[in-house]
Amino acid sequence: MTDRQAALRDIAAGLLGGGQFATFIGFRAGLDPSRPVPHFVRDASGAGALVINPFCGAGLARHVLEALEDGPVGILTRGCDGLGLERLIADGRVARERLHIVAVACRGAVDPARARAILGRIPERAEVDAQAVTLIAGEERRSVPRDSCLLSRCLNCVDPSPRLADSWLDEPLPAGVRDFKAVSHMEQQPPEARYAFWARQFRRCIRCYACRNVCPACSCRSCSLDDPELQERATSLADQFGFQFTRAYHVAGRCVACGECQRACPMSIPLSLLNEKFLKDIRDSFGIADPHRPSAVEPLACYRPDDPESWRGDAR
Amino acid sequence: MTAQPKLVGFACRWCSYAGADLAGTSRLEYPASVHLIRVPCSGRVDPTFVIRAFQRGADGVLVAGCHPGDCHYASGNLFARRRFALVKRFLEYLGLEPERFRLEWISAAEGRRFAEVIREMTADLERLGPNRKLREDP
Ligand code: SF4
Ligand code: SF4
Repeated sequence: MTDRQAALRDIAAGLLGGGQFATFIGFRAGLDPSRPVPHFVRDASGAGALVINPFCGAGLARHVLEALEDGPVGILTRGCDGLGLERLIADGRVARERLHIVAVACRGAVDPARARAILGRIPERAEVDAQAVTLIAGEERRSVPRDSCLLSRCLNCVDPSPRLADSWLDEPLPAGVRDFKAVSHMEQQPPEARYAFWARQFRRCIRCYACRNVCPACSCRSCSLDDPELQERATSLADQFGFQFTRAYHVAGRCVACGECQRACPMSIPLSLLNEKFLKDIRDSFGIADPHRPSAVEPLACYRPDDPESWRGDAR
Repeated sequence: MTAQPKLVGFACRWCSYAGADLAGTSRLEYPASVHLIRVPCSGRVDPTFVIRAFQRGADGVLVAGCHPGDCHYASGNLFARRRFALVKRFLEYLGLEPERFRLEWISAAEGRRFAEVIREMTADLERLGPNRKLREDP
């Protein structure tokens, strides 16, 4: 058992045993060793079920909304979870003082489907460092480059450690700066190719609403995407564009780039490429650095007298 | 001869809508391509209205409001400016031609400006031809 996992179990047991906390949110082992699942621990004796390993992929932030109904919550928090919690706090959905944030520095999570394809069987363990990923099953150990089997959101991650923390399982890793390479690449395609690309992507959407349901920036009690018009007519391309535009625009200026929507999408629609377009333009048009990190005033809830105006020609 | 493009205009009642009225009462010539929708403020225009217009067959969409500093509600147009700067770029990112969406400041006294914007945009849209994007397969 790793030191971090032992420390996590101790902290969780301490919080739940103290009587002040009702739930601890982390991961427990799944049926398949490469797919641990988010888990709510309700009493100290259950803390032994908690695990930390490079297969822990799901975002946890959004789960606090449900757990907080029963009382204060302790939560295992990587950089992406931390940004999600900041978002929920900034949106007034969560009170900071009702959370105990157990911070951990993350080097990336392994995509179980890609790892299995590489190994030809389900990996039992994995080791991730700054250079490579090692996949392990039985006697077999295989080292592969990070970009061959990490979740795509982890490859672009510049927030390995949370900014908010009440206890630490290890030392924080430094934050970086997003480069929006994929968005720039898309912007350079001809308009017809862009349209064909998005039409092809959006056609595949099955309206499962996973993208919304996992999103820490998309937690309004009454949601525009529940409009019966959007729900009833999922088959026309026009409505697919309507749905995708509405989802992306409604988190513009509030998206924390955690990539959870794209990870959750069963149809592999590249939702981050939409979210990041807004983030990049917010940075470039309004001069806001790191717009994915929540700040006191949202970019679209304010203005400057000298905001850019360029309406007739190409605004790109 | 080609069919006239369909241009949907969201016009603020305090300025641009009155500007359109003035263009009419001054008998200024401008194409009948524009379907004007009166809104209380350019800040009232939800970007999904714009998407909806394209989906229902608009070839172009114009949002017209008061000049910065002249908003009846002080800052509605300045929020709109930020919002539509992003939306315009986003529509282009989805593959729409940049000329199909515009936001303009047109005061109640600027009937001439209103006519000019409609003429200019109609000419742009005629050149581009009908829009099928955001609703039909390429
Ligand atoms: S839109 Fe996607 S990337 Fe942005 S906060 Fe929501 S889940 Fe995370
Ligand atoms: S998760 Fe993917 S398939 Fe499901 S509604 Fe969102 S975009 Fe569509």
